[in-house]
Amino acid sequence: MARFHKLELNARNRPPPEPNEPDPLSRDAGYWMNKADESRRAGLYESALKYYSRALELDRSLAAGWAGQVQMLLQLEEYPEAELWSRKGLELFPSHGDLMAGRAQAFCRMGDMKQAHALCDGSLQQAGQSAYRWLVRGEIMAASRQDMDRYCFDKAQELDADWLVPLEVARIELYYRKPSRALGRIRRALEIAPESPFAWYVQGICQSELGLTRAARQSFQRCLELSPRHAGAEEQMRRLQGWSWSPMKILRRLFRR
Amino acid sequence: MQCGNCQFENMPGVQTCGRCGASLQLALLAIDVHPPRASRAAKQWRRWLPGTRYWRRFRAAVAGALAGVRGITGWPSDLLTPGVCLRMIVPGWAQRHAGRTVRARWMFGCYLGLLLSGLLFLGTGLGWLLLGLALSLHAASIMDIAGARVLDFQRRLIYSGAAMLVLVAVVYYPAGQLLSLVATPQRFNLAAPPFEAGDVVLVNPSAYRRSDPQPGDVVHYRLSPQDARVAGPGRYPGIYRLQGDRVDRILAQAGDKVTCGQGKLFVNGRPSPWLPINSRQLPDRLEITVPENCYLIFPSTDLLPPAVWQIASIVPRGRISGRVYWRNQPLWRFGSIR
Repeated sequence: MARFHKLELNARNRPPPEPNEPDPLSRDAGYWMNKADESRRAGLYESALKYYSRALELDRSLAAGWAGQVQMLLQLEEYPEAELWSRKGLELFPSHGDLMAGRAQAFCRMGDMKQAHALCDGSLQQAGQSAYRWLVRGEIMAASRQDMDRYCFDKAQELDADWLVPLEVARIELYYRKPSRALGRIRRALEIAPESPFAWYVQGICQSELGLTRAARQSFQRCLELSPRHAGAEEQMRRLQGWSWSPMKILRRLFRR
Repeated sequence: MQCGNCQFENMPGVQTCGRCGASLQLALLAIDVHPPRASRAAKQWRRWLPGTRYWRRFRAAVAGALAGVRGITGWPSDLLTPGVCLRMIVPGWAQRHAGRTVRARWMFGCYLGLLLSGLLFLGTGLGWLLLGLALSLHAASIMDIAGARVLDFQRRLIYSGAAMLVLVAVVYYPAGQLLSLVATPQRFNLAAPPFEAGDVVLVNPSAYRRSDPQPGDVVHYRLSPQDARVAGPGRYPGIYRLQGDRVDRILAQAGDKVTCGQGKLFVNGRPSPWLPINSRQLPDRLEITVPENCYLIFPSTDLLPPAVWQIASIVPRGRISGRVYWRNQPLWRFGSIR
């Protein structure tokens, strides 16, 4: 009967649930939304996307879940998919500001600035305020090479004191190859949340982009202390340790976004 | 009943929110909540091809232009969209898009067969006929697209004609020009050993744009019209008119001293590694120093008296039109020319 010894026939053999974990049967949409938020803060966008989907499976009327999915698709650089999904979300929630802002960001990343501007204006005209809408506004300004972007990012940080806002601003600045500005933003995030491994990781990326190899190594080291199995930080550490000059590396660096 | 979007308290039983218009029946609807995902390869492509970022802008510009045409002609809106126009470029693509897979396969297969056969017989009457048939099939595929919509015959003809004109201007003419840059067919109307009447060779006119011809290259050249006088029988000299297109090998370049005798060729006192295309045709005795900016090419494919060779063998650089690299016809002698 060795073939069946791994089957969970006997409930007594199951590992006991963790103290904070609710019973699997009582996990509601809120639980999955919290899990998605945790993953997002850890930089695990693929997992966050799955958790948002799990939350929506239980409650399709969670507009924040649809907006979260769009934002995760954008973080995963799947822009046409994000645009499509935000369009679907807007069919269900026609005046949802964050979904509009998500669609604007997708258009912006795909190079359609006209649509991006129109949607961003529309999102800011909707009821209520959110940091994400101003974050997208800032990104569109940065993409159009206008200096107003920093004011929009500041406004986003004013609206929401969460450390995730400066972190996501830093990621946008990095996308547009402004690592020095990104470093300023991520330092602010680290002031608020010094125990976040992902923030240390992003700081390391900014520093390595600026050529501050030693500081970058320290940041990645700190990230690994906080999260010993952080794959991204391990890879960056390997890259920094094995740094050497080669024409191919210079070429890759030239073409890297 | 509270709206999930704006938290507005609606009356029980209403379908949509009174304030924001969001659906209140979402929990009951069967909606897929899993977003579409990009494949890994697609993400790589998007990263490496920055042009795809500008595709949307280009498409918007084309859509604007097409909307203008629609406004003037009154054609159905679904016939003049960037997607339909793009799918017209490849016969069968639009049919496949419309779900008629068998028809699409037939159209694409026949078009490809006709096009490749036409290219194989390039330079012959049959080749032009096959290329023409391929073009006709392309036109038929466009008519089929127009026919799938509700259009009367006259308007369908106008639509297909206009689409073909655009396709010829945008696709076929530039493609033909590009092809002629690397492969211009030259047909032999008369036998010129080792070529026979009806043989077709491909000439690359761009071969010498950046570099000069080298000894050993088989080239296509055009002799300038000139008369060569040779001693003829009786009092009157024989006059040979030298002109026309020829194909032969370059044997020496400017400044080389060439001597020929007893079936052997010497360049600067050394035996030449190259012989004319028709190696049997070598003059019995000849001594030439190749002038500046000229090449030595023996007209070995013609039966000329030795006295004429002296004149006919010196070819100015400007008279060489391209490198001959391939024999296209007949098929049983198909292959490269070295």
